[in-house]
Amino acid sequence: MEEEELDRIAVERCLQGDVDAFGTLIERYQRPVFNTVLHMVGDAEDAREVCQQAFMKAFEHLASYDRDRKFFSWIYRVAVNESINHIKARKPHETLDERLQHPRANPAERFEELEEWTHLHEAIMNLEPNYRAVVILRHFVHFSYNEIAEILSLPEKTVKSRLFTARQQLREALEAKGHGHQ
Amino acid sequence: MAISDEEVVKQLESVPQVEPPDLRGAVMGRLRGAPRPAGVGGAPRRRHVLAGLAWAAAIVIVVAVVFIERSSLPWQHTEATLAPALPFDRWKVVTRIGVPQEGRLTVRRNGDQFAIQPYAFNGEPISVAWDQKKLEMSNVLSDTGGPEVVILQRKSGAAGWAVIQLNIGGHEVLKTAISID
Repeated sequence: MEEEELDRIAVERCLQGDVDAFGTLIERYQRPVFNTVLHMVGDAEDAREVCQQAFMKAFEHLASYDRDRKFFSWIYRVAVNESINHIKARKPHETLDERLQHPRANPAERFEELEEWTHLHEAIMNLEPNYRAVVILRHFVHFSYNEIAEILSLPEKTVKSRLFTARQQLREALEAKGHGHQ
Repeated sequence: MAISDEEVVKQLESVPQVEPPDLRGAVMGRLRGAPRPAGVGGAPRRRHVLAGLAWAAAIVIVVAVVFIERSSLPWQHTEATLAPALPFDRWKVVTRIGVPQEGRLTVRRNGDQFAIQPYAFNGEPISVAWDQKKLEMSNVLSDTGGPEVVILQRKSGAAGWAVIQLNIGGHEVLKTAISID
């Protein structure tokens, strides 16, 4: 049975009063949703809380969910919106430090990869949240343009243009940190 | 310095997925205590209200008993109730993330101290790295029954976010950013 069909059955059961059926939906989506939210908010503890809120909200509004649409699109949309609300509500994200070293090995040994990742993380966190969402859904969760358009309720061409702009900003941010080649 | 779009994509797509915490357990626990949404069938609301009242009554009774017992405690017990230093495994969990078949990382916090508890599923050598501008090592606990636990101290004036990285068998398994505010 396809996942979409399994989702539909779980939603029906849930709407008939079987609350445990919602648990199967959480089980199916908690990993990709958590990873999406983690990269949106940039902190694992915040991501845990935002994910819980998103699933709670999805449950509370399950009756209003349009069952002609895919459940995964809807749950991702709830999670992305919840992440954006969380980002807006908290203080501005502080930039991550650049120098990260191995703690107990050779103190002179620099971890270039760690630094690279830190710069990438910092650059992602500096993207405007609507642009950040497109990058995460495309490159971390590997959705198609069409699926991202459905999740974010945007025309596909807007998804493409936001992705282009976002990657350009990431590229500029990484270049400013000295990545790339001459 | 120039960097191509392909390189940006390559970097983005090399970020590993992490294992989530038990969201199902946490959410279902909260849902069972929450009122059902409109349109979701099930038990009538009246039963929830009665159960709520029963719990409220029970809480009032427990609070009253505790209050009476507390008020009868002699003063000399005050010193004895001061909590000793908590062992690290009783500190509040800040984050717990993992990568299947590779390893996991648990970060706990107690005030300005953070306990970094790594684990490798395959028993390979482990190392951790952290943001040394914001955190400094204050201790290493080896008598934990598992891999060494690194205790980090927040540096004076440090705030915001700090990255922790877990390496297993000489390669990076995961990274996470924690709030140190």
